[in-house]
Order: sequence, then C-alpha cells, then structure tokens
Amino acid sequence: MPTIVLNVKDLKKLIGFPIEKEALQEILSSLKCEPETVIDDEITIEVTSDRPDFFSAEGIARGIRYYRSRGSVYNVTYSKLAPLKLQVEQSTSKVRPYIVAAAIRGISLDEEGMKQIMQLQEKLHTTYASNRRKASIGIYDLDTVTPDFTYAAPPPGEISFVPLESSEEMDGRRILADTPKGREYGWIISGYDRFPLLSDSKRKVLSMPPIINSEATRITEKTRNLFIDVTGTEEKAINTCLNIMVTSILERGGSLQQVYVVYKQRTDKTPKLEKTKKRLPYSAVATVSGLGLTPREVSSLLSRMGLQSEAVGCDALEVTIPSYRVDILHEVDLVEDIVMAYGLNRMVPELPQVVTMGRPLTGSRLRSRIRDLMVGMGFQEVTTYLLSSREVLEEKPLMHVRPLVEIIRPVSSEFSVLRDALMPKLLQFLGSNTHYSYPQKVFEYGDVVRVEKGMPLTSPHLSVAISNHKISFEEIQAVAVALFKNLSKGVSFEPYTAKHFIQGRAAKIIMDGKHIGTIGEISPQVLVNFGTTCPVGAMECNLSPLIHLESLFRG
Amino acid sequence: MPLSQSEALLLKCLEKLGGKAEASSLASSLKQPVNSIFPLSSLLAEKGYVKTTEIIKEKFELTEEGTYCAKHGMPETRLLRLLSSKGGTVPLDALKTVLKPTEISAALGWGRKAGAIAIEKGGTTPLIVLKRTLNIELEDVIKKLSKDGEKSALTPKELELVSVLGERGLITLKETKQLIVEMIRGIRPSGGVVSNVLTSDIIKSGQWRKITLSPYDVTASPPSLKIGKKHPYLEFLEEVKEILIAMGFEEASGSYVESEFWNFDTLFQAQDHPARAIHDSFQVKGVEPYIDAPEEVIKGVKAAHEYGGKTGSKGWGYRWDIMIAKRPILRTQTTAVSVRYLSTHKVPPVKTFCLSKNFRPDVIDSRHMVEFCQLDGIIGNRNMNVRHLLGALKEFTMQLGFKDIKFTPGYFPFTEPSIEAYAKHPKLGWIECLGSGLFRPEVLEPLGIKFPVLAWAFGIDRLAMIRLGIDDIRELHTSNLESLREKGW
Repeated sequence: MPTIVLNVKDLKKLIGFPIEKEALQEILSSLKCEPETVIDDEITIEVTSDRPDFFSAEGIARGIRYYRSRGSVYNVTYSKLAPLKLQVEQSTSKVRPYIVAAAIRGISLDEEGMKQIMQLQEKLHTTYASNRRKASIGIYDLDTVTPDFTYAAPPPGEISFVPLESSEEMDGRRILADTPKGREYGWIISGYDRFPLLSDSKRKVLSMPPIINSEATRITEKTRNLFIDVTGTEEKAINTCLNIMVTSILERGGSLQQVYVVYKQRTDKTPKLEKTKKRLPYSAVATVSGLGLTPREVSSLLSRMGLQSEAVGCDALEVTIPSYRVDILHEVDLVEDIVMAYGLNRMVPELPQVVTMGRPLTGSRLRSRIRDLMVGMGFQEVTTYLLSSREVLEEKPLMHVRPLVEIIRPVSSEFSVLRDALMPKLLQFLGSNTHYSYPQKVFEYGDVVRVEKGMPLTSPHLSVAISNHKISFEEIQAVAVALFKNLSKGVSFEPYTAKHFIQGRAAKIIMDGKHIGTIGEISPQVLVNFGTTCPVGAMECNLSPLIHLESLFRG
Repeated sequence: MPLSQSEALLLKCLEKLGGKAEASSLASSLKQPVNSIFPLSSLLAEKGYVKTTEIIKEKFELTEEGTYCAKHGMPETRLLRLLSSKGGTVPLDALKTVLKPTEISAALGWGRKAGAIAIEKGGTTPLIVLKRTLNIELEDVIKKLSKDGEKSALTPKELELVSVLGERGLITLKETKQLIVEMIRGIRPSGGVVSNVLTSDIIKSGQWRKITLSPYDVTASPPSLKIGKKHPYLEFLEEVKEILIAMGFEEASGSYVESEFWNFDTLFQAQDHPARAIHDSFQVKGVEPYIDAPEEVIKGVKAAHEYGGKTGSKGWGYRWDIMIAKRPILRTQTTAVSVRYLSTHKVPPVKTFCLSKNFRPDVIDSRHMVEFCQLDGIIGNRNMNVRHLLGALKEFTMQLGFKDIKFTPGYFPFTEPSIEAYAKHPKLGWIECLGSGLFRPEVLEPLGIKFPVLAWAFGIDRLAMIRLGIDDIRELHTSNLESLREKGW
C-alpha cells in the first residue's frame, strides 16, 4: 500500500476550518488513511490503492470536509478560455499511442503545494501507471511555452533539448544513457526507433515521455498557469491519472482549461470529468450492512462520503459519483462508504448462528499419533522451511539432480526451491548444532512437494535422524520397527544403495508390499558436506499410504 | 549437611578410586563431562567432604613441523643417512629427495659446524662429503616427546635439548590445569552402616533393616534432562486449529503451488492493476502452466474482470489474459484455498478454515520472512451481513484470548466492505491482527455461490511470536537444537 507524507498546517489550510489533532487522526483512520507516524507537523499515512484521490493532501482534505458534513456539491471550475489544441502524429502509434492533457489557470503553489503535487505524481506512477509504463504524467509552466502542442515520435537522433536537472542539450539516446531518469525508465522506449516527444508550436520541447521533462518548462513557486499531460499505452490508465491530478490540483484554486486532443480519426476533449450515476436499492444497503437505516439516513451518510444522491421511486437512490472516485465498481462499494460514514465501531456485532460440524483435515489424527510416538521415543520435533536450495537437497547429500518446483527470481538462493525430501533438511539441522551435547535425536513431520509429469504433488513425509559419537544401523532401524509396530503395521527391509548412505548399511522400507521409504547410515562424505563429524542414522517415509489408518474402524 | 544425589554419587566414586583422584578420571568413571565435576567438587568441598587442589601440569606438544621430524627424523639425520647410503658423497641436488627446500641450508649449516660434512666443488654442482657420523640426541628427545610430553618426566640433560627444539620451533609448552579431589576422612558420617544409594540387592537381602540411608540435599539442582518434545510453534498452531474446530469450522488445505487463476483472478485481483501488485509473488518453473477449473468458472472470472459479467459491476475494464492466469506461482494467500473450497461447496451453510504456509518475496529480517503461516476462515450462509462479520471476528479473537476488538475500514480487492481489526492483548495493548470482509459479487458469482460469504485472514505468525515470547519471526523455525531442548513455553 502506498505511504504518503502530509504537512498538518497545509492540510488544515486545505480543509478550511479548524480541527484538533486527535480528531484529525481519527477521521483519517475512518477514511482508510491509517496514520503511521506523527513527527511535529509531518504525518505519515498509509493509504489504500483503490483510492488514488487520497494519494495527496488535497483529496484527503476534501474527504475530511465531507466527513465533517462541511463539503459542498462537487463541481469543477472551468476557465472561460477556449480549449487548447494538441495534435497527435501517427508516428507515436507504435511506441506510446495515447495522450490526454489539461491546463490549469490562475494557481499559486507554495513549497508544500509543489511537494504534494510531486508526491501525487510519483504515487500514481508507481501504482496505476505501472512505473510509468502504462502512463506517465508531465507538469509544465504553461507560460514558458507557446500553444498549440504536438505529440510526435521522431527518431532519437533528431531530438535535442536540455533535460531537467541538466545544463546541456542532449539527443534522445544520450538522455537514456546519461540521465538518472533515463537509466531508470529508458527500458520502456529503448527498443523503439522513434521516441515520444511533446513540443509546442515553436518546436520547443516540453518533454520526452515517459522519461523526462525539459529544464526550460520546469514549474516553480512563481508559476501561475500549469499544463499537464499524461501519455501512455492504455487510455483508461491515462484518463484516471489525469483526472486525479487535475481534481487534486484544483483543490488549491485555479480554473480548468480543457484540451482538444486531435488524432487522425477522432478528436477528444480532455480531461473527461463527467460524473456518473449509480442506482442503489435500499434493500442492498440493508442486506449487506445489516443496518436498519431510513432513506434519509442513507442519503446523509452518502453525502458525508462526498456522494450526492436522490431518491428514485420509493425503493432506491440514484447516487452521483464524481470522476475522482475510480473505486466505485458495484453497489457494494457504495455500501462500504455508508458503513464507513456510519462508523464500524458503532455497529452492533452479531454472532452468526450457523450450525456446522467442525472437522480436522484428513491426516491430522495420523500425524498426531506419529508425533506422539516419536516424542515417546525421545525425539525432539523440528520444523524447517518448505523452501530450500538445490545445494541442500542435491549437492550436499549427493542426491541426483531431479525436477523440483523452482522459484524463477528467488530473494535468496537459500530459499529457491520447494523441498521434495526432509532428510537433507534434518542433516542441515544437525550440521548447525554440532556444538551441543549428543546424542541428538530429531524428527520432522511435514509436507514435501515432488514434481510428477510436470504437476506438483504434495505429500506428508516423516524423517527421523539420530546422531551420536557412535551409532549403528540397528539403532535407527529399531525406531522404524517400533513406530510401525505401534501403528499396527509390519514393515520389512530390502537392501538399498544410494550415494548418501554407506554401502551395505541402507535399506528400503517396505509396507504392504509398497516401498514407502528409506533408512540407513549416512555416508561420511555427506556428513562432512553438512559440517558434522558425528555419525548419523536416518530414515524418511512417505506417509500418504497410511492415511487410511485414521479411520475409526480400520481393517 | 545432606548431599544431593549427584554429590553422593561422586563421593562414592571417589571412594572407589581410593579416596583421591583427578577430576578427569572421576569424569570418565562417572561417564560425565569433566566440566560437571568441577561444580560438584566445590560444593562437596564447601560441605567439608573433600579437599580440592588445583595443580598445573606442563606438557610439551609437537608443532606441525615437530610432528614431521618425529616421524621422518631430524633434517640432519636424514642428511647423514643419505650420505652413508650413497657411499659418503652426493651432489647438492640429491638432497631434495630427503629434505624439504626449507630444511636444506639449516641441515648443511649444522653439518659443517659439527664437522660431520664438507662441501666440495663438483662438476656442475657442489658435492657433499661425509666426514664423520654423529649420534643425533635431539632426535631421541623429539621421539620421546611425541609419545609423552610431560615436563616432569624429563632429565636435566633432556631439558637442555628440549630448549634447542623449542628454539627451532618444533615444540611448544602447554599448561593444563588439573583438579585433584581428595576425600577428607573423619568428617564422613559414622556410626552404623550408612549407605548413599538404595539398591535392589539391599532390599532383597534384607540389609536395609540394618543400614541408615543418608539424607540428600533435596534443594540442590539435579542434572538437566534431554527429553523429546513436540515443536512449540506447531503445538501453538494445533491449539488454534482446535479452537476453530470447536467453533464448527472444517479444516481445508490446498496446494502450495497454485495457478495465478486461483490465487489472484478468482479473487478479482486485476491482472494489470495496482491491486495485484499489493504483494508480488514468486513465479516458479519446473511445473506446467495449468488451470484446474471448470470452463464456466474460467469464463465467469474473465467476464467479471472485463466488464463485471452478470454481477452488475463495471469490472476492471481491460482484456483478461488466460496465459497470465495459467502461470504457476507459490501461493501468496490461503484465501486461494477458501475460494477453491467454495467452488465445490455451493450449498450453505459453509464454515471452513485453512491454516497453512504462504510465500511472498520480501526482504528477510526479524519481522519479514518469505515463507509464513496465515489463517484464513470463511462463513457462508443466507442473510449474512457486516454485523455478522463483526460478531464472528469478535467471538474468534475472544476465543484466542484477546480482551477486546476494534475495527477500521480497509481495502482488499476481493472483499467489500473490507475491514481490518485490532485486538487487545492483556499486556501488549492493541495489535493489528486481521483483514476481513464480505467476498465481492465479482468473486462469488463466477463460482456459482448465491449466498453472502464472510472472509478473514489472520496473521498467525505474529500471534505465535507473542505466545512463544520471541521477537524474531525466523525463530519460529529455529535451527538451534539447544533452544528447542531448553525453552519452556
């Protein structure tokens, strides 16, 4: 979830009426803006990704005004000036085909205002814009350029301007190579032979989306008129980003001047800030929330979330949804707003009266019996991670390379494959406990995941190990016999050869004619690989064939 | 003063060894580590049963070089032996066969000084000529030391030679402390036959009627026992499962390797939306891309994502891609198990839980681990609403031992309304512990579920850490045997 930083003074100024610090924190958390830390006037809050209008102070202030019933019907102030024009050239169709834009007139941004707008831009980039790939936002001082605008995609060699934070002109390729933003986002366009470029009527460059703006169009505290563009690969994403930018900035004053975006086949007028309407039956409110509310109460709760509504007939409301509320997909989203405005902690919890039978997972009783038997034989239970490494599962125990479920981009090689055996994990465990007293007797009962014909197959395994200055095959074999005897199962042993066991001191464990596991003395090379100098006797069994033993009347 | 059982045993053993013994021999006859003898002896000394004396033994030990010389002979011996066997003259080059390069000049220097050899000019290389054979006393000493390095066993003449060996870096002197425990006779309780240990022989023979059994110091600490135990973390998880089963929940399980379809798509997490990026996932190789779901479920999920399907929702408004849905990943949330369960249990009521492992890429530290447990529960029935959700959460957290619960709104892509809960721990105060909500219509409709479903997920590892009194999540899977053996919980 995104984390944003607010300045309390700035927030209070935007709210427009006094509010105490404690009350502020409470409202924030009622609006899904969870305060994390408060240092002097700085509040850090965690916001939720469904509400991009809360990614900066402006939208949050608006939310608080409504919550305190002090907000008015949401309306955008339009400038009297005719819309600007932005020509889109066909050359952009491959690399970054879509653009939307807006201008805001008569605004004054102080230091905190600039900070909030930059924060909003950045949070939108990391969430809705998929790190600038789907959408990227540019903000410019409108008075440094001469409308109208052209969005084109010339070859990078023909591009030349001074990028932000630089002092010399660069061409397209050099910007990718020599600027920090170029190196960070260059991959989005570097594979194309034409780069997107936004310029004005005098061919002055505004930006090379989605990489960087030009130094000459940079906004400052003196800026009074803004130009904003969003380019991208998905129309829905760029419209969302522009709407959120524009509706948030307008909270600080100014008026909106729209822009005609002229494509070859069509012309759009952006931003598109039309309100939408959604029908909300009272029955849906009652069914989902469990609250017995009158139509008046429903309407008033909605307005405290900034949603105006009107009764249609006697069984439903028509709710007006402002363009910045991109999270409302279904009527349940409106019910959530009602519940939030009502206050979750005011609602009376009711224990569901649902009669059902509780039941543990099949296999639980067997697991419990086996763990009891192992503990009774003096073994310490251990639990190791399901994630392991090929080093532990294959190389160190000299086991052959086999298909494993393997993470494509692991965080650490230590946690890069799902284990398909427990014995190597126990050997690893023993290897890290050589400085403690012997004998060491351990077992683990847990899941392993094998791959069979390309499909993952989970099964419960038991592995047991005894380590001491001296051990014998019989010692571990006696454990296996005692265990299965107490499950009323006889087992037999057949000689077995594997590199991790000493030749001639290992066996297959056979139950009901089925090979269910292996047992033996671990070979010295394997012991050394795992860093222990004490001999180990170990066994491992697949217990899925025993699950039927859980039945109350087992044969 | 009475004795503890271990003290009495040590005393008895000391008596057997003739009333005086070194700590090391006591240890070996008692089959105990030497370091357990020290505290016992000093306790006995305090009580006046024994006298302890510490002596320091000096012992010579051979260095690596010294061991080599003890085995193969001193360099000068090897030189003289070579000369004798080759008829008294060898070329300089030949020395390599018996001497290491580092030994050659030292051996020649000694030989010339002692008058044993001379170096003469030869054709291409100097010749070494034997003048007289000498007995090498140093070699006898080093051989002796390799068997027993005890300093006190050496003659004064030998000690002189030993200092030469020391100068040549072939031996070092090591000091070892030895504790001598000696019984103080006379203080032993007298009168009648006193026995420390009651044996079956004493009972069988009737001897017990005549003897007095000496009292023990029953307040002293006994030796520590290494016992077999179940793992405390797993036992805690069992406890939680029992609570849920007692509340009427059926336990469910699912595969750790899951398709993105069941992990994300059925949970209405758009394929290209920040909601899906809330947590990244581990994509895996080695298994085939595959969705085990009926065709109509896949179609329903696609429709719900693209335009809302039959739910009345707008949907996410993008082109849903089955190739992405097929990708195998490690399960990131046990909620995947809950929706799978729902897809095969379409008749209410439904009450199920899954307490199992999930996997998410994260920086590994004391609070984050890429593999962790989560507890997911669902209750599905007709006529259920948010108030029932709050009631279920309250009951469940009270059963877990919390004293109070409070709620705040939250966001999860698959529930609406979404609610987070804080539970009040008697000592630690409010703890953010669970996320919950009513499954969205876009989740239920494609699965064919026609009744509301309450769902929640509990970060159970956090609770386990509190319960077990640990502050590093990695300790839940500790690789420290001693802490498992020793720690109570």
